Parts: sequence; C-alpha cells; structure tokens
Amino acid sequence: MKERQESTKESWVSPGGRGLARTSLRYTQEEGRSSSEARVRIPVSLPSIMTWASTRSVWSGPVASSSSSSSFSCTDLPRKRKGKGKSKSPGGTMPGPSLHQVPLSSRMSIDAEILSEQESRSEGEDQQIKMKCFSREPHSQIEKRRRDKMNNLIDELSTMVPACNPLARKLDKLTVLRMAVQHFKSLKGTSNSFSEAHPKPSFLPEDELKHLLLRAADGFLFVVSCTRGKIVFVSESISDILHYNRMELIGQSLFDYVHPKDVSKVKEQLSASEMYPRERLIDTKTGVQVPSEVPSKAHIGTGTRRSFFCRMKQSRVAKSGKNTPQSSSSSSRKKGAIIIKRLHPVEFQRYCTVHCTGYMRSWSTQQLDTESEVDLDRESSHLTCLVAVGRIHPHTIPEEPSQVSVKPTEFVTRYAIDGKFTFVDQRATTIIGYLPQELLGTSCYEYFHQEDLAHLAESHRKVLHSKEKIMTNCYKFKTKQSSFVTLQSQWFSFINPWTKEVEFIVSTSKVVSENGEKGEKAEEPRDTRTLEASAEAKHLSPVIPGISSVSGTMIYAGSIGTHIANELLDFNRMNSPSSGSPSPFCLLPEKSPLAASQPGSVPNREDEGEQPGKSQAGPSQGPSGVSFLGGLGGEASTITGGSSQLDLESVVGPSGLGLSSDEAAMAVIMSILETDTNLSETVDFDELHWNM
Amino acid sequence: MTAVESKRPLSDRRKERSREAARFRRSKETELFTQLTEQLPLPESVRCHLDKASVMRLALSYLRTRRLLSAGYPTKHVGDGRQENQLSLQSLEAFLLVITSAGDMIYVTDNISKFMGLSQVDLIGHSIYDFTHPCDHGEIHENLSIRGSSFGLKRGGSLTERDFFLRMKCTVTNRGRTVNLKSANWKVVHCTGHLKLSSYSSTFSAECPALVCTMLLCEPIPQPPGADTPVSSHMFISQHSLDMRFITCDNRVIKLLGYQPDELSKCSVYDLYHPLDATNMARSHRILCIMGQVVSGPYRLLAKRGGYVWVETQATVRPVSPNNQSHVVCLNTVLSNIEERWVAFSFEQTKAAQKEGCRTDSPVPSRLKQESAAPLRATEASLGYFQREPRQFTSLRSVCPPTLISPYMRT
Repeated sequence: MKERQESTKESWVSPGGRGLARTSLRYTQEEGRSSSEARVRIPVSLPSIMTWASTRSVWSGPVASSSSSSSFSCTDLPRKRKGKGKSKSPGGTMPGPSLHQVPLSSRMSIDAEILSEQESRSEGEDQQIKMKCFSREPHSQIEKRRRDKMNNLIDELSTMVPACNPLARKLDKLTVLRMAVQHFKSLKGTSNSFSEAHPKPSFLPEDELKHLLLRAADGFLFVVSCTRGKIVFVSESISDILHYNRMELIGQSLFDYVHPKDVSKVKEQLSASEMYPRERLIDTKTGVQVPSEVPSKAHIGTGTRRSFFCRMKQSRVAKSGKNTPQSSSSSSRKKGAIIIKRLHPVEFQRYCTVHCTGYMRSWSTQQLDTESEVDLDRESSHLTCLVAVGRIHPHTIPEEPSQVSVKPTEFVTRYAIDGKFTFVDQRATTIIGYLPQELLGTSCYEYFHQEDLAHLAESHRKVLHSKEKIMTNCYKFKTKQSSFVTLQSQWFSFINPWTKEVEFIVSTSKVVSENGEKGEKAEEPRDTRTLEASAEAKHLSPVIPGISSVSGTMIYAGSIGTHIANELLDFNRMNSPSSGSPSPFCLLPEKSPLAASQPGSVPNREDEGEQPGKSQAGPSQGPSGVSFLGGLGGEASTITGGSSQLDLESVVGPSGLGLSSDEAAMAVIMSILETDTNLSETVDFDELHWNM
Repeated sequence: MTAVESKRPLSDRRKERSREAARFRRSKETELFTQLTEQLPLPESVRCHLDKASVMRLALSYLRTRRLLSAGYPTKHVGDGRQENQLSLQSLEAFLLVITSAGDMIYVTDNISKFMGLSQVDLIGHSIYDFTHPCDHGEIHENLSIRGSSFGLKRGGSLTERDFFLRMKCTVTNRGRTVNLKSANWKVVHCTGHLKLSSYSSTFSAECPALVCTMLLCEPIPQPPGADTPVSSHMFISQHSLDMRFITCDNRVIKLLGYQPDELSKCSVYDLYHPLDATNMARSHRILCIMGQVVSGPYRLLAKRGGYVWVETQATVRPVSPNNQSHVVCLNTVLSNIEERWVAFSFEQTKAAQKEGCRTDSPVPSRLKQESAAPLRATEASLGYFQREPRQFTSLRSVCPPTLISPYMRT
C-alpha cells in the first residue's frame, strides 16, 4: 500500500504527461482495469478556457495560484474516511508542483484525467468483491481497504447514536448496528417525517427542509395572483423579516404593502403579457390580455423568470417594541437597507428593499392546495400567479436617507487615473457645493489647497502602484463658495482583472471638521468663480491678463494629475517586455490619450512659466501659491509635452528659477523628480501587478 | 474465507465451530443491515439497490442532518411544507446542500438531479471534493471551515455568511442528454448560505466534536439563452470582450437604460458601474476569468441621462470559432427603475444630458451662465442649514438635489 502511494507521488513529480501515463498504467495493472477504460478523457467543456488561455500569458497567474492552493487543500484536508481509496493517494489526486509549468490546456485535461481515474477506481472499489484480479496481493489490499472503510463508518455511526455513547468501551459492529436501528426507529416515532401518506418519501421531513431552506435563503416565499395582486400564499418566515403575521397578509392585496412608487413596477412584473417575448406581445396587443389564454407549455424560457426589487412596508407593530429610530437604524445595518419614507418629518414608515426572485406559473383552480383559503375567480379555470422568494437586499445603499443620517459627511467619487472626476456622488453637493456635472471632467487637483498638493500627489502616485487602499492625509478642498472644507479620503485604484491595467481610482471622502468654513475665505473674488465654471465646461480657458493667474492655476494644477498618470503609463511601458522608452521623461504623446490633449495648451503654459512676475502681480493674498502653481504647470507641461531631450538639470532649471522663493512648491517638484529617478533606477517588480 | 477452505485435519472441529460462528455473525449483520435499510427514508425502489457502504453513508448523513436540525431549530412551524418547499426551490432555481466541515455532503435536495443529473442518493454521504473541480478545493475548504472567513466576507456579511462559486460535476448536457459520470462536464454553481455550528444537546457526550455544517443554496448558472428563446423585457443581452468592453448589445437596453447599442461598443462596462460596486464586480470578473461563468450580485449601472438602475448579471465566456477570440455573453436583469434619474453621476451622463439640452433649446451656454448663480445660493443655504442642524440633514437631502439640479436636467 505504502509502496504504491510513494510510487504514485514519484510519478507525479516527474514533469508533464509522462508521469501521468505512468500513473494511469500503474492503476491499470493493479486494479485490473483495461487501460482504455482508465484513460478515458473527460471532454472538458469547461467554458473553453483553454482555447484562449494558452494564447494569453496573463493566464498563468491566477490559474497557477489556484491549482497550487488546491494541491494544498488536498494534502492538508482532514479526511474522515481514511479507508476510502480516493483519499488514499494524496499525490495522485492533485497535480504536483512541477505541473505548474505545463501549459494550461494540457494541465486542464490532466486534471480531468485524474478525476476520471479516481472515479473509475472508486467505482471499482465498490464492486471489487466480484472482480477478478490479476494477483492476490492487490486483492487483499482492496479487501483490507474495504474493511477499513466499513469500520470507520461503524465507528462514526457509534458516535452519532446516543445509546452507544455513554458506554466508554468500544462496541462491536453488531451492537452498533442494532443500536442504530433502534435509534432510527425512535426518530421515526417522534417525527411524522416519513409517514406513508407521501407516495415518495423524502429524505428529510419537509418541515425541516423548510427550515434549512429558508435559513439558507434568508427569505420568505409568497404567491401572488397576477390578476388582482392578491396574496395567495406567504410563508411564516415573513414574520421574521417584515414582522407580519402570515395570516394577516393572505387574501390582502400586495399593492397595499408595496411602496407607492413601486406599485407600477410590480404591476408590470405581474402582468401576464410578459410571458411572451416582446415582439409577439406587440402583435397580439389589440385586445385585453387574458391570462388564461396563455399556453402553459411556452413557459420554459427565461421569459417567465422574474427578478426585481421592490420596497415593502414593514409592520409598524414591531416585535419587542423597537420602534425608536436608533434601533431601526441599527437593525437596518444588520438586516439590510431600510428606506424611511417621510410623510411628515416626524413620522417614520419603514420600508425594506426586497429582492424578489421567482417565476410565473398558472394553476388550474382545483389543483390549488386547500391550505390557502382564497376566493378564486370563479369564471377562470386558471389562476396565473407569481411565485417568488423575497429576500432583503443585502447591500447597503449609501444614497438612502437612513444611511445619510448615519454618515452625512461622506461621498464617493471616481477619478480617471490622471485625477479627473469621472463620477461624483450627489451627496458631494451638500458638502462641497458643486453639482456633479460641474466637477465631472475637471481635475481634482484644481480644488486642492496648494499646501496639500505635495502629499496628495504622493498619495495619488502611491495608489496607482498598489492594490491596497490608501488613506490620504487631511486636506483642504475648495468648495463652490471659495471656502475650504477639510476632507480625508480613502483611495483605491481599480485594476481590470483581465488586462491588469489600472482603470480608475475610487475615492471615499469624508469631512473631517468644518472649522473655519466661513472664516478662511479663499483668495479669489467671487466673480472669477463663474468664469472658472465656464472654463471648466470647456476645460480650456483663454489666458486673460489680470485674472490669468487664477484660471491658470486651475489648469496647471490639473496637469499634476496628468503628469502622474503619464508616469504610470510610462512605467508600464518601461516594464513591459516590448518597452520602448527607457526614461519617464521621454514621453510619446500619441501613446497616451491623456498626453495627447496637452500640446494645444503648451504655448500658453510656457508663457505662464516665463512670467512669474506677472502672476504674482495678481491678487495679493496668495501670490506665492499662484506662482508656484503656474510654475509647476509649466514644468509639468515641458515634461508631458514631449520634449524628449530634456535631462534632469534642464527641467529643474527654469522652474526652479521662477519658484525659488516658494518652499512648498519646491518640495512638490523635488518629490516628483525624486520619484521619477527612483522609478527609473530601482524597479521593484514585486509590487507590480503585471504579469511577468 | 480463504482460511476456511484450507483444511487441516487436526483443528477440523474448531474450524467448523468458528465457521459456524462467522456465518451466524454474517447473517446477523446482514439482517441488521436490512433493518437499517428499511429505516432509511427512501423509496422502496431505491432502497433495495443499496449496498452496505451506501446504507452506511446514507444512514450517517441522515443522523447528522437530524442532529443539525435538532440543535438549532425549534419546531414551531407546523403543517405540510411540501408544496412550499418545492415552490421555494423553483423560485430560487437552486438546490440545497448541507456539507460538514470535512466536506461530506450530508444532505442535498432531490431537485439536484434536475440541474446536475446526479441523484440525491448518489451524492448524500459522499465528499464534496469528489464532485468538484480540483482547482476549487482550496476555496471550498476555506469556506467550510470556521476560520476561513476571508472569502465569505467579500460581500459584507457576518463571519458565518458564505458566498462563493465552485465547479461541480454535471452529467446532464446542455441538450438534456445524460452522460456517464466519467465523462461529466463542469457546471459553475453559485453557493450562498451560512455556516452553522451545532452544539450538542445533553444526550451526547462532550468527547464527540461539534458538528460544523454549511448550509448552502446552490444556484447553477444556466447557459445564456439563444437568440430565439423568449427573454423577459426586463432583461437584455450584451456581449463583451474579455476585459468587459462592450461588443454588442441588444435593443432592449434602449428602453431600460437609454443607451443606443452602437454607442456602447468599445465602451468599458466599468465606466458604467457605480464606484462602490467596482470591487464586487472585479471579483466577479476574476471568477469569470477562472471558471468561465459567474453571476454577479445586484449592482448599480449608470443610466444614460442620469441616475442608475440595479442590475444583476449572469456572464458566460464563449469561444468564437473563427478567430479563437473568446467573448463574454451577459444576461442582464434590470431589477429596479432608474433611480435618482435627475442626477448625473458620471462625465458621460453629463455629456448626454447636455446634448439633450442642446436639442430642446439651443442657447445652452447662456443658460448655464444664468443659472450658475441660482444653485450657488441654494447650496449656500443648504450648507448653512446643514451646519445649524445636522440632525435634520436627512430631510434636507430630499429637498436639496431636485431644486439644485432641476434647472439643468429638466428640459
């Protein structure tokens, strides 16, 4: 036995298909199976992963890891039935480590073969007694294994039968069996589970199955007639979810319990016309849709499936008097989202978002079970119903008022990799004053206070290069009223699972404190804001002398993000095998759409960079910050603009001249340059997500 | 048995006696097994074909299931649940599976044969690892044990909640033909449920370990419907490249989301997701890449002119024969109406809304300028309100966005 195990392992370690062939041959001899049978290949219709997998090298990543974890699971799994043949050869069940180098397609088929082998072996074991064997050795082995398995099962049975347990000594097989029979009989006596009433006894009493089922599903079953929306049946578990007594609902109209805004939608879902595909519905639309005309055999497709959300009223007579808003919010977090409808500001009516999954079905009236005491439509012989399971929608919906009341100071935004807003949660409006459409398409850097630019740029860079969520420092965000609000954000970059490229950054921002919202007015006068707003819409404003510094700030701050994004793109290119550009400074604008938009604005920026004095002559409150931004923008644009011949000194030179007074600006630039050099010098491959 | 046949004259009588004893013991054992078989809650036709090992595994599974039930379920519900159970299972299009932490399937509902071709009796008592894809064993193991919490927690549940996918052997082909278990193919199954630890009642001694079971509702993901099968009007079918960029989309999307099918092509579906769902969707996408099929949970998809709808998607990777390029076929079920339809969340929505504005009345830029003052004041007021009375914030919210946004959105 041991010998065989070892040899099996050995053959698995040997690379590739050779090992497989040897293994299967071994089994063939030992088990007396013909080799053709043992080597049956499962036609793996595993959604054809292999067809493309071998062409994409990206694939080796996830699959290799998953198969390695599976091999772990196999060897480490605590198997109870040691005697079973399947668990006897841990090496054989799973591809060994060497298999990871085998191309995926062949690996898949190998897995399949192993399974087929296992299967044939295990089946063999069950009928081994009758089998003719080649030699005596394996036969006795097989017999022993069978006995071991049986003994294990008996042992296990003895732990399950209460009568066997108090006795400390090990009982013999016959006693255990006798006790088991007695135990079964007593179980039968207590529960009416497998009474003779059912033509087909079920393995588990239906009642208990119901517990399991509703426990697993966490929902309630309901049947609603389509014609009137009358609730024909509802399971008791509704009392746990919506706190109604089952009997008070049966016979009522479903629409009384649905949120007024959802009634029309539920009606639409109930309409029997939906049973047809849309095209045919239009043809027969002349008359009134009569549900009884629906032929019952046409219900096979997905056309009769229903899946929808609706808000359902929760009983106000809640159990154990948890009517206070506090407890409702806490239970809402536990159970799911609860929508609070406001008829009056004081009165709360709780609604639950229920996900209903089910199908349309028609019964003939006599078929209906006696349990549901409903007065049926006398005239129609068929009753079309929606049979569905309602489950509380498990997701928390941040937009809902109840959630907002808990965390009113939070909003979600999505940035493109260069920091431009591509998604803004409407809650942001109450916090930062802008409407989503005002922010969208603009760069987030335009709204940051200049003091924070350095660390935010750093965080931005970090988030693009890591999978982790990154918490930024507290920073000031310019609101629409030109005041600042202090925010802290959690950023994470979203990586497309297939291409492994960063698609966007998701940010969850929350207000840290509202101090000095009125006091710390920003430097710009109000009227420039409107100008900026229009500038945002076009995203490219003409540089007007006098106010140019302000609008210039807007644009140039945005280019920080562009710069960082380009860094990333460049970094990718550098690290991809076919990389062309050796340095982040040599950007090829046509390769990145972000950089491609830059050249048009380059002249303006150069202008700006050359006239730091002029911009400083602008509003007196914040000259340093403005000039710094202008200078930075100039610097960034020279980089991103594609002047490939620049070396480090020449970049630092002009921008450094303009900004020598401003330490913060210097710090930003230095950090950017530092990272650039770092990137080009030390390439940390471990932190990358690319497939190598 | 072989020992009995080899005769030795000296110990003949002793042999004879022991042979008698053994025969008696065997016949007694067989009798007991027959009795045990009779006790099994199975139809007669199935019962008479069971061998001893099967009897044992079924009996054990039955006892374990009973123990699981007795531990945590008060029998307050009464009445015949047969029809109810069937309707529930049909509504959910799923089968129920109870697995111990060691991987033994101690209970499965009989409708599994409809989905997987394997019968209830074939499966009960066997190990889940014998019927699932080797690559999934790690995740299954993780999900069946108490400490394995990282997988189930993805969708924000408690420690005992489980939500994962596995590939299971299926002996029914897509055309409904039954094949041998050896040539079974894999079917992706979505499992949701709970881990349950049953502490023993007083009748059991402390030495036997606690029974840890996972009750799972297993939902096999169906193949996407063909062009001819009827699809509910709340569903639309889309095709994507493997990085989830749209290739084609069905016409129903116009009515449901407002997009024209051709404007969606080449557009990444990730641009349409609500950012808060991005992580979940990425997980689904990853599973799709590994298993070839997936069903997403409900997520938010942005509608064209503002707002979003809740959608649930079944995705399947399908090869396209000519150039070996695979694509993803998605059956999307729209679960809700367009919510917050006056709010433009994304850049694309803003553009769509602006275009809409252009068509209805031409001087948009001037309008924008005019109205930029009005929302400003409104927002200021709202912020002030917010500062004074943070408690009343909820009521504020419902008032605020419509007044703010209506000038832009309402045509």
